[in-house]
Amino acid sequence: MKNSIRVERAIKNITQAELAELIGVSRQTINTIESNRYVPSTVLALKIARVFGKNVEEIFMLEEDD
Amino acid sequence: MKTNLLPAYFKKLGYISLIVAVSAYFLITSGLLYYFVSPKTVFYFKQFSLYTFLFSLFSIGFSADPKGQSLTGNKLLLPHYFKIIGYIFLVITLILCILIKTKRFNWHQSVTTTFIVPNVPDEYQAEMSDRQKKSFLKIEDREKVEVQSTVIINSISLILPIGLLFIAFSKEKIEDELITSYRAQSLQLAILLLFFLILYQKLNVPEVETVIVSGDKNFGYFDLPGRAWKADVLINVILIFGILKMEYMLRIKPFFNKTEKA
Repeated sequence: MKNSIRVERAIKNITQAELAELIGVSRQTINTIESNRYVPSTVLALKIARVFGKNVEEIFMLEEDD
Repeated sequence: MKTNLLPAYFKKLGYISLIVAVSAYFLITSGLLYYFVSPKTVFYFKQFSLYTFLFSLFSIGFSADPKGQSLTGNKLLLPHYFKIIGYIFLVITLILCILIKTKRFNWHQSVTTTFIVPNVPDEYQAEMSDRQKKSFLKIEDREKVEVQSTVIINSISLILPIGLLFIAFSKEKIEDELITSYRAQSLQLAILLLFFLILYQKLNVPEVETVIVSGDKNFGYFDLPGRAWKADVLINVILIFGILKMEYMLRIKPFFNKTEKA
């Protein structure tokens, strides 16, 4: 699974730490999700999508081998 | 089903009584208390510690959760400040360790229970050799035969888990789902290490060592506990490994990732 959190963050101009604080997780969690080392739960994915005001599918996308 | 028998402030009361109970257990098991009070008072202290512990379990388990408990909230975890308390216990334990090693302070305890060996039934006596029978009858006629079962209490291996458990079972500052998965991973690895440790010891380290004394007319033997690590030592090793793995994933690994990027 890939995601566009880094792009969305750049558009909104917020850092990893700020995003982490907005959804109530640690900065490390955001870092591992961005670098595709951790797949977030549905609750966390929905929270991230709500911060950016978009649908979950626009931020998290399935890859061919998923 | 929700079990909210008690109001939310009982949770805090439970945590306080847990600290009190564990401190009392620490004082008793480390042997420090024996320096200050009589053994009878220590007995009452033991009772006090046990009942306070049971009360804390009851009040933590059956009280309402404070609001804002997240979905990944683990009921087994203690608040973040228990990590500091855990480190304090660990430091005190290490100081005691050094004092014991340098023989400034020494305390150990063993509980022994004695049983009288029952008579050997006739059918077993029939299988004995003449010499064995002779010596057995000799024992039966004149001497007392006893079997002693002993519990060896090694104070350090029993007080070290207090600090370790508090560190391993307290929440991080921000307890999220990534940390929950790290916790599961480190526990899994710890269980794997435990298995290989036990397997290695089972095959290589003696559990019982027998000293055999024999002469021209007499023959005797006695058993000694082997050098194999007992359960109380093993649990410490596993807890230390689990904590180190957790600390590595939380604090050391991200540091390396950062330097990679730069």
